[in-house]
Amino acid sequence: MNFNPGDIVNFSVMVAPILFLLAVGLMLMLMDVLKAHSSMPLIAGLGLIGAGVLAVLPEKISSMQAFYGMIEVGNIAPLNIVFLCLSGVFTIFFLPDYLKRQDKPIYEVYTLLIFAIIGMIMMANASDLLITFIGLETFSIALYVFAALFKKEETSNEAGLKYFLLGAFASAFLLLGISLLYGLTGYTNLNDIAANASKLTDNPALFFTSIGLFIIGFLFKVSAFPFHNWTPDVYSGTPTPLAGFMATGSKMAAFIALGTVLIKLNFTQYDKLVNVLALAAILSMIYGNVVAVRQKNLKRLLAYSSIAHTGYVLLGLCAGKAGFVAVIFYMFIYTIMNIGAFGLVGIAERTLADTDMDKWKGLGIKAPYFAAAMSLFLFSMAGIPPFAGFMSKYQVFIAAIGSGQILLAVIGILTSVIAAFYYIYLIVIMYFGKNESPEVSPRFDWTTGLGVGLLAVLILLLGIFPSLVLQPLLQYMSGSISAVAAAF
Amino acid sequence: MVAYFGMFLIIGIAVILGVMLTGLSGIIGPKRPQEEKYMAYESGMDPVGTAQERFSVKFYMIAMLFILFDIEVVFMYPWAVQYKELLKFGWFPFLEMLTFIVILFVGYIYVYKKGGLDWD
Repeated sequence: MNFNPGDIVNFSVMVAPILFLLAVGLMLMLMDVLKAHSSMPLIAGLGLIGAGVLAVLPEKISSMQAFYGMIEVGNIAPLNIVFLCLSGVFTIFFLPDYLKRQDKPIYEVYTLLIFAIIGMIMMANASDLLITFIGLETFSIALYVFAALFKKEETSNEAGLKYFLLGAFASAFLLLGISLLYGLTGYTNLNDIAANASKLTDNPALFFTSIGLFIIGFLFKVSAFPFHNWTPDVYSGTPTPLAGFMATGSKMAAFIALGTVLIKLNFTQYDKLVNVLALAAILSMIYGNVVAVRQKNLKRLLAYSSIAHTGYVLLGLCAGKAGFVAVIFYMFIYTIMNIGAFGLVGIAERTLADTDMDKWKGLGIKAPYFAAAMSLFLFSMAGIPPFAGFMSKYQVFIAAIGSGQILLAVIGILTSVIAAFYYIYLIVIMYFGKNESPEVSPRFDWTTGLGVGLLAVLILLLGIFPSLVLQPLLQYMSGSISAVAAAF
Repeated sequence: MVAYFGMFLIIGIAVILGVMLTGLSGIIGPKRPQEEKYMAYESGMDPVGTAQERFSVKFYMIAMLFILFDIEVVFMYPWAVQYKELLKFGWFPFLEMLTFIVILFVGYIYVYKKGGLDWD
């Protein structure tokens, strides 16, 4: 092989943020052992913002490869790096206060968060299936540690063990799928596989087995219906702000990676694959929303609602290339409102020492700002118009209808009605519930307040001007025909 | 299948040989039982207690860290052997290895300061 150092490290938009984040992560490790704990959240947050800036700094990149084509900067890459970094930044707003009030000074969180985001960036932009797998494992291991972070607590241990064992199974499925794809074509590189698509279709049984196993691995990570069972237990045992990160950042990365692979393989031409995804979408939407109605524990409620939201995103994914922008947009909006909601539940968990819904009675009067912010996030998740959640739902439904999946869109809209019931029920409890026993009201320090304020403003802003995010997304995706473009 | 005939032959012979040799020595070999012969082999030490004990997590920590730095050396060997060849790329190979070592060294400092190498 003709060796040229420039081929290995192509300091393009792709590699610079990863290397920068790696340096930040190493620095955080040193700060941890040198007892410079107080500035770790700040450094981690600034590092993530810096990586995001490094990603969008180059003007317009059509397509570029690094590490012998193992990582590819496709059209959407700079923005998905920014979104993944932002999900980390939002989480960091809630972490210091939460850990302090839980009296658990665990500072590895910030280091692990950075390394998890490196893994997510790698996975989301991989053009080689092995890099997809390595990226997935990199962030999964960080997430297993997050789940078992409070190592002296039983719920946290349970969450960690469940997530680890089931995650290991899912990784095995994914890897078997990758190895069968390799066996069929002789390549692990996605572009090579796509170029040899005829070899795939020569043996349809093996092809659908391999891609099916591959999809199963990802459906587990995004907790879609048949592989959702771990979600409520794990989220309720995980430290709350980190559960928010788990439900958003990792799912966003998994959806982008899955979407990239499927679109490169041009999956919409195989009806079976689309049907499998559509079935998972329908069942996730119905199951998540129906079961969430009966939940009294807020973390479990948010977990079931996250299963339902996965269904909506899968609905966009079924639309193929045209729905991909809608998928990323939906995940970004969901990241904002879900990290906000989990963060607020975390605050209540500390001060009311409970995530039980009944304890939230009368919070609307006692803690007006808290209740207002929570209502805003809940309205947005329910998809009520002035908030961003409406715009994101609208985009995926439009994408689904545009690709002829009318039935899917109808089921999606019907299940949103069920979802609106339990989201608004919580608001009713906060504002109209009678509280007999006097309780302390939720308190939070300025970082958390700043985070909540920022997320709330973003939800309102993107609800009224969704083009602030959609426009750049479409520009970066330019060249692809999008149903979203037709809507504006 | 015909192409794999040799492989099946080898597997078959290996199985037959293994079963035959151990079986025959069990049947026709001399038997002079002694207590020591039936004890678990512990490198010449007398075995103490049962094997189902709880081990300290320290053993696993040390083993894990050993593998980590073992792998570091595994990567350094081919680099060092080929270094003269690599010199034609200037400082790049050196900087690559330096980056690798710095990353692992930060990890080493972290482990050391966190007490991962303390036995007590």
